[in-house]
Amino acid sequence: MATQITNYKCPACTGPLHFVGESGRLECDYCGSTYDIAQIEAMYAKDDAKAEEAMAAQAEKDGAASADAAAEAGWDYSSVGSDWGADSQSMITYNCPSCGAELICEETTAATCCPYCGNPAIVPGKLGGNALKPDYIIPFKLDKQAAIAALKKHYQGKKLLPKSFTESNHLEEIKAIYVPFWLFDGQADGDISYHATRSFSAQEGDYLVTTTEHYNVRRAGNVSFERIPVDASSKMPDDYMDSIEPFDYSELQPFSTAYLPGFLADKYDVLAEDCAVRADQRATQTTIDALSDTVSGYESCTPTSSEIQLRRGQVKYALCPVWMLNTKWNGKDYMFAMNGQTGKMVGDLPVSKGKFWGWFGGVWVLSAAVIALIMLFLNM
Amino acid sequence: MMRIKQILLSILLVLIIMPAVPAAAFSDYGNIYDATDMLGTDYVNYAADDLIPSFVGRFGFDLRVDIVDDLEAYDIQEYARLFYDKYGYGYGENYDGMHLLIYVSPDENGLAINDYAFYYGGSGVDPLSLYTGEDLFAGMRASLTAEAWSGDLQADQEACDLAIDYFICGAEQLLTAVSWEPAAPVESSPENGADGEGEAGLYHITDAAALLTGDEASQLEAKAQAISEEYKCSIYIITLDDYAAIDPSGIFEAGQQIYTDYSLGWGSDKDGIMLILSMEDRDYYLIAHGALANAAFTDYGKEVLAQDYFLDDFRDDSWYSGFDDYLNGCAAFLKDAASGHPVDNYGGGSSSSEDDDNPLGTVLLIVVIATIIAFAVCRSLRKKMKSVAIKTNAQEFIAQNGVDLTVKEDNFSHITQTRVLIKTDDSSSGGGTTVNSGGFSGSGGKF
Repeated sequence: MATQITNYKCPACTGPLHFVGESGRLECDYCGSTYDIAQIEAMYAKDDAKAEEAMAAQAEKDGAASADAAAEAGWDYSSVGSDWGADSQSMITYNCPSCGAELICEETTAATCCPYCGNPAIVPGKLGGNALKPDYIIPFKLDKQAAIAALKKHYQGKKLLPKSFTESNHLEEIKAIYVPFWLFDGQADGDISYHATRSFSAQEGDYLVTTTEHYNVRRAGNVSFERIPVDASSKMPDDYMDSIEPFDYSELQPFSTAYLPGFLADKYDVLAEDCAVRADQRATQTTIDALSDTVSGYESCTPTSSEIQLRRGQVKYALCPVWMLNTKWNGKDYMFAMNGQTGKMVGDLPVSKGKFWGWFGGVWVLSAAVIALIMLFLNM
Repeated sequence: MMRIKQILLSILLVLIIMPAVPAAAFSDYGNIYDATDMLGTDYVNYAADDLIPSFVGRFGFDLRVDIVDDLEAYDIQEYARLFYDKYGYGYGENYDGMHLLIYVSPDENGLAINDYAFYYGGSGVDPLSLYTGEDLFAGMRASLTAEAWSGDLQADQEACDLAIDYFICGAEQLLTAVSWEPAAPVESSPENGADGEGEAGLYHITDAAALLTGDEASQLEAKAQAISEEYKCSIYIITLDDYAAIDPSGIFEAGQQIYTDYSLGWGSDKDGIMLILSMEDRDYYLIAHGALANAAFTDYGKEVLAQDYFLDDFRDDSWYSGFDDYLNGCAAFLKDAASGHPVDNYGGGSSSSEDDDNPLGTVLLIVVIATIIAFAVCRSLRKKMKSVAIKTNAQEFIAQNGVDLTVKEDNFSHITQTRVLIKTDDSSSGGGTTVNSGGFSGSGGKF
């Protein structure tokens, strides 16, 4: 796990620039100047040109290695990520000796603690040459206040939530993190046979005769997938990252460090090859579901044979915006995650046993009373 | 052992008689039975209606004439004895009577005689053994020769008339010659009809389809008899290969015919419940007759009796178990009826009035339903507390128009059918029994 913090300097006062999601511009914390991302990137063009050369050389090496891996795993890793190039010169890393996280940030930015375990004793170092630069980034659109508001909304309507949880609950930490994802493109060819039935009943004398028609059903076809995301960070729980899906890919931007100021950025530590298994599973299951959805008009439909073949395509590396919120209650940690683009908030909440049994008893008494009244009415 | 013999005899007789009694192809004139339905002359009717009843009244001695066209390769004497015993021929405590059984076959002209049997069938003193004079039945014998039956149908009918006439006259001369003293008449058995004449009932168990072993039939017979006597309502089990051999119009009609022909039932009302099984198409029918039986076995009750007691056994070919359960059910139903609470719908779908009197069932029902509802509501509330889960599909990442269906085949394979008896829930009618003009009620189906 690595986190990188990239700072641009304000052309006016050399103060740090921060990307503001609401305006989509970079703002200076000190003098209040704002800049278009393109404007700032142009200023760094020279450095980028140098980086391009270095990247080309590195990409050639990585390309050969990726092609070998693709032939073995089936996915095309030839164009995944790129070299940091000249950017690496201005980047440093922080390693967390407690949880093993690796943080990356610009040399002008200081990370004070590990965003995962909270350990303040993180050790600075140099960005290694083997780190890939992301292909895409989805910028943050929602700020910290929006995350706090979303969490409060998340509590609403939860009848079994302990009252003390909301009353004494204080957020321990709120972090904005660009989480690394591998994005998998591909197709799946499916050929599935089913045994389906359709029944109808008619009364014949004193008997209800149910006639069941049996059918042999077959569906075949292909399903195209675009950018199935798989969390590339071992520190970030997969279930949380799955649950905040989907991101709006129409706002996917080519990666630029200009989007990073003010936010933590993770570096992948789970290889794309390792994540490909989950992409395969999700594509396979979706193909089965998509073909099954076309079988209609039957009362039952049971697969009798299934053959799914995946045509694996390109893999890309992207950073997606996530707000992580942590709190403690009764000595237990509770984590929430919010999609920094769409605002979708997820996180399991504690259940009050008192409220649970209170509701159970209340509903039970009410139900029993209603049923008794109905039975009394029917017997009158 | 005596009971087993009786049951086996009954089964044997039904097996023998069934093919010999095609539906609507025989005539029963009372004491004269014509299986060919071709010999019903005016004389035969006269003899059956006047001569023989008058004879029986004067001498206390029964006369029977049976004309059959199929013996199934049985010895005619044995067959005649079976007839006599099975149908309760005879008069008085010794069942005194003479029986003439004529076995004929159709030929190109009409009928041809094959054989005949003539004998005293009672258990008392044989009047033939007391008489030493000339042959009083020579004329009858002469009329039962192949020559006498060699002409056309009219000649056959005349030969038959003569044989019956000589039979009656010969019997009259014989009894007069031996100064016959009739035995005391038998009191009518409640199960054999109030009039006590001629017609007799079947045993409680008649297994013509041979579903039971001898021991099983014997045990069921004893149990059925005990229940019948306890509640004064006869309980019958009849198994057939195919009810259509008796009445092709339906198993209910066939059952009614058996009930009537064999004068089944208890007492003057002929109270009884009959379970009839026809193995050809695995049909069953419950038939009740008489005020007591119809009150005890309501329309709803018959369905409960079938569904809750024996149908499951019959579907597994567990015949003895099914019949035993049927007898248990009959006993329970008759007991309920005797207590004034026959098993019926009572307008609320309850199988017994006892359920209405017992609030425990109602309370239990309320508790169970309320618990299920409360559990479902709390489970739903608890589910709302969880919002984190691994995703197993990628539905949101299917490309636009990304599903391309290349094969879509729906081929019909075959059809299966299930039949379920509809339990009547006629709450508006309040239950009861639907009885036809013949005093029968019935309910049935497949097993």
